[in-house]
Amino acid sequence: MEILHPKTIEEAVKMMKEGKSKSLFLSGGNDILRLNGEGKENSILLDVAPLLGKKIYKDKESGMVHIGAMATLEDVYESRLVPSILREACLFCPSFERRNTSTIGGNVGAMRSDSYLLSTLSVLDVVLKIVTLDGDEREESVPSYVKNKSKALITEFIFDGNKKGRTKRFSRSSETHAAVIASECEGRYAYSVSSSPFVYGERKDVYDECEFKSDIEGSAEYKKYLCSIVFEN
Amino acid sequence: MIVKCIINGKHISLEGNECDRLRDVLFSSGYNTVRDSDDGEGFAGTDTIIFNDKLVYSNLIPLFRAEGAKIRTAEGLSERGELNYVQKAMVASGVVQSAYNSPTVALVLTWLLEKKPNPTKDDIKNVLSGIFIRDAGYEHLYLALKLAREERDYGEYKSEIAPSFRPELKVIGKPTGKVDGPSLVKGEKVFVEDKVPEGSYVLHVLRSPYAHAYIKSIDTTKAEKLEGVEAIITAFNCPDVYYMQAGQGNPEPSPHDRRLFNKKVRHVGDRVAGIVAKDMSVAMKAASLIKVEYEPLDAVFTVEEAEKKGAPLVHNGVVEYRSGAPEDLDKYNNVKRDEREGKVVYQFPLGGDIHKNLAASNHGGIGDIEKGFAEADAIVEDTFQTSQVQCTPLEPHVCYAKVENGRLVIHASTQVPYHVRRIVSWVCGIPENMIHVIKERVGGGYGSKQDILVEDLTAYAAWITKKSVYYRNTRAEEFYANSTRHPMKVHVKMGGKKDGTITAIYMEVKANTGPYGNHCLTVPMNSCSKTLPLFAVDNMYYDLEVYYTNTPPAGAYQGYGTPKGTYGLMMTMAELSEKLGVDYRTMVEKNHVYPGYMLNILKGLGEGREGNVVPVGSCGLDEAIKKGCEMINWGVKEDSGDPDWKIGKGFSMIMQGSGLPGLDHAEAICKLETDGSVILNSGGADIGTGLDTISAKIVSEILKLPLSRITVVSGDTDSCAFDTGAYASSGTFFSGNASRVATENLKTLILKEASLQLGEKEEDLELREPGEVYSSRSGKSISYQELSHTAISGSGRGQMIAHGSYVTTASSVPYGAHFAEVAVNIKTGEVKLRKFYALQDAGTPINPEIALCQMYGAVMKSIGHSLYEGEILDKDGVCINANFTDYGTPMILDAPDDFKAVLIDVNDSDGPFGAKSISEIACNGAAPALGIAIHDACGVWIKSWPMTSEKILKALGKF
Repeated sequence: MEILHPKTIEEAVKMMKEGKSKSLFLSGGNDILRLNGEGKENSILLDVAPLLGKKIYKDKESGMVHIGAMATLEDVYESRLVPSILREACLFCPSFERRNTSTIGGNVGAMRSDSYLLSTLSVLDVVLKIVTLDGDEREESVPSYVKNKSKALITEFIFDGNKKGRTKRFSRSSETHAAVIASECEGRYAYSVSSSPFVYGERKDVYDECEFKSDIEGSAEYKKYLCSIVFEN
Repeated sequence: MIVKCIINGKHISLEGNECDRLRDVLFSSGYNTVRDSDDGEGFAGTDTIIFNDKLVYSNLIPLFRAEGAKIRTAEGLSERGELNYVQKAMVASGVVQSAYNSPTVALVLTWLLEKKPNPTKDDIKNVLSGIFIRDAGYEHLYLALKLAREERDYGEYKSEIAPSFRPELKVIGKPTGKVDGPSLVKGEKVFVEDKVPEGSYVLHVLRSPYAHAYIKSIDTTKAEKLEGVEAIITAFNCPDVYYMQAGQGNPEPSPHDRRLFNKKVRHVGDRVAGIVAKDMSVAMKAASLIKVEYEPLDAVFTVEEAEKKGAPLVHNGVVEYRSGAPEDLDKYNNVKRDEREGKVVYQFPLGGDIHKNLAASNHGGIGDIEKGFAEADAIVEDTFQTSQVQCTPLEPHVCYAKVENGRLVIHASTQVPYHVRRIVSWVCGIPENMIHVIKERVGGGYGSKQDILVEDLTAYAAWITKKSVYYRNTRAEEFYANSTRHPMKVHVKMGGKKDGTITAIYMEVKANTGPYGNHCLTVPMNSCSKTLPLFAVDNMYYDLEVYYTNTPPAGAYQGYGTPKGTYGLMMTMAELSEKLGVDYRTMVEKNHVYPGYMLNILKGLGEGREGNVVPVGSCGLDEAIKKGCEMINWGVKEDSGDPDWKIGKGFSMIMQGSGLPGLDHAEAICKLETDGSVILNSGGADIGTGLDTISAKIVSEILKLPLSRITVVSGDTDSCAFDTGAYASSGTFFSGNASRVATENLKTLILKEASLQLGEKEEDLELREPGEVYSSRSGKSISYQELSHTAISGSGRGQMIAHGSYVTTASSVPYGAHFAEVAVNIKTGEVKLRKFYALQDAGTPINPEIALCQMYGAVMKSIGHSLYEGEILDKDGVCINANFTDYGTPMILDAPDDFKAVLIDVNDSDGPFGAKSISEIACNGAAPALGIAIHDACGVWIKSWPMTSEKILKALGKF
């Protein structure tokens, strides 16, 4: 692995563009540095931690909550500005040590099929502030960011902190990867299913679009069944 | 790069590459408490540090991020060797056992108390959520925190640490803390990895990608030319010595069916080449340059596949017998075979037939089984499947070997130092006097370090190269190149009368031993020999067959075969009770054994020899059942208040053994030192379970000497005498009894010497605290110091040194009952562990606080096996979940909400000071207790491990 230290966000996205598939943004590092993580021997890691904020605050004018991409899952969990559904989702990362280093930006950027946060952030209608590889600052929804397999650098998360919703994680034990994480809020539904692409929509049965696959977390039938009953009541 | 940071309050410069893991740099800089259990998986937490006031895994921090950081490691907790109040409380509460991550836990709990002086149970759970503990479980960590707070607030402990037993004794039966607890919790350099000097060579093993294949050729030419490569060992240059890796008494009830390297690989991960090189990067590079040509063969992975007619044969070599060869052996061997098959050498007949993949078999019983079933009002017949589970010690298998003064010195993390010496002696072709095995502190064994899985090759590599060689399994290798529980299919048929009397039990056990026959007979035997003797039933019969397959190897695991047999038998009994309309408790109470009941069933259940028929001795079974039923309100149906969550209860009676009567052997040497202190050299291997403390307490009681004047040296083959080792629950009973005999013999010598020095008759003398001989006739006394000093003077009669050996045919069986209450969500299949009560009779618990923690730890392992764990192989035999996360070991968040371990007070007539074994038995109850509770909650029987939500939903017909 090689680590580069861009001095600005612009430089970081430029390096990402130049490094092509070998480059990864390094924030907290959990998903990249963990055994069997994204980081490979020939990876180029772009250390973006010093360039990104970690503040969690409520904008007085808009009333919206802002979370800097470097905020850790523990920071988010401990914040009283954050809706309970998101705090609960942070605890889907069961290890206190990992929550202390895993960042909200890194978790979304990794786009894992068992991501702790993707489904909850999606149903909360969170807006991502991103910087594209061409250096443009933009806003994008989480589902769109995931669908596009974006490599853009996430700088901030913006959302209405008053939203209420439900989220549920199904896994064999506290630490095993999730078979299913499902979230619902105000008529929006999202499902992270292991080995399947992330799905999001305004129908409860949007999970039908998942290409369910059997894996070590459970059979395709089991995961489909869980998705079908999780929001029954 | 050089990184400047503050570590434990001191300005420190750390050197390394930018991308290096901070853990590796800290460890190599001398902060050895920052250990690694998971190869950077971010799971076990052994690598936890405080980094800028946050608890983090140092494996996941690249070195460059430490610039300017404030770091705290466990080294910073104790000042000038004095434990801090948390460390002291941890030792006092019994949680410091194998202790590989105890320093880290102390760091985490100290941090918590700094942040929250009075934390709640949830706070404690939260900070420990990322710490994996396999040995002592998590329950006494709450107690440790409470004790720490009490010392902080009141200057003393107010809470009871553990119940005390035997008021007439001073230290036995009292929670005194482990003698090696302080050094372990501080993080002293006591493990194998701490003994490896810089510049040592490493050993790396190239492993098979195939489950079953002949090796056509291995070309090591390029690899050998690589600078830094010292030697490459393969099937073509290793000794032609057949042995096995099970650490069992000689002659072993396991076939000698392997060499260091074989010309046929029999599982994915089997050894192909061993590379000795100056460092790991060179070794890895060399491995990539080795060209191996394989001839792949069809493989078998299950018993069903292995027993099929015409199935591929895992072993098809020449069969030999050291004794008891069948008359038609020549004919048996007269088959076409490839010379690369090698040999299978039985030490004595085990009922094997390798031409049918049968590694071993056994059959037997008592009474008339058919008559018994004919008398039954109802019969239930069912089959249960257990999975391949791994011991997962936090310290992986590790070995450091070197040649010193012409002798081979082996620093090992082992349960069986003397068996290691014997096997290495065979492999290297040198006599045992040339080999010195030093058992270091063992960072978790649980049976897997009863097997000589890495010491054979590491020692051989050191012997032939004359280099210091270090080997350590990766975590992945722990899963696929190590020993695991034998997966078993347990078929039970049970008949009973309407009043609940069981009339007959038939048990068929089919076990999967994997590619080699480690423990192939004895583990499955335990499924019957440690379960059927729970039943006072006249008609019982068992058949057991053990098959070779191409899965990762099986071997010893705490509980041995018993958890699996118990699962099948108790589940079937619960099914039968339901069919008969008899309460399960009534049925258990009607059919269990009682003191004096003659255990005829044992006759056929020896370890390949005739078993020892004995009556039931001390037995706390009935009390455990009664007390447990009271605690859990047996018979009362609980309501969750939520229609989706159904509550159920279950329990299981359990038993084990205390060593192997007639087979095990233990010795100790007790010496009165020149100042009157005592050193006991015990052949026993303390693997974190407190065996050294047991020996020290025995010396203390007999010689009336404070523990501070007693040192136990154990597991060192040069300075100690023979002991079969720490397995089969033999530690307390055998090694403890050897310590007792040696100390009693020393007492005799002391009295004799005192008689001469004082001019008194021996019968008038007695030993008195704090270590003196007193004459009840004259009132004269002489201290041990004076006594010893005179004895070794120029005119003295010599140092008082006593030897003790212990063998027995007595069988001291621990009994117990484990109770579970679960809530099952009938919509999602989720299972919540509401209550778990483990009640056990351990005779006199010599270290009660440690005993309780061992019960908690063993139950957690068993909960893991029952609900979460299991190796998963793909169609080619590749283990696809060879890491902690995917494998599914339970953490503190998976522990029962209400968890209690209770020691039933029974005094045994044969155990040292009335003690029996404690920890293995605690692995036996969870699976059936949980299975029965799940059924009680939602009406389905889950008949295979792990009993997952998916299986429950499927059984409920949800999809």
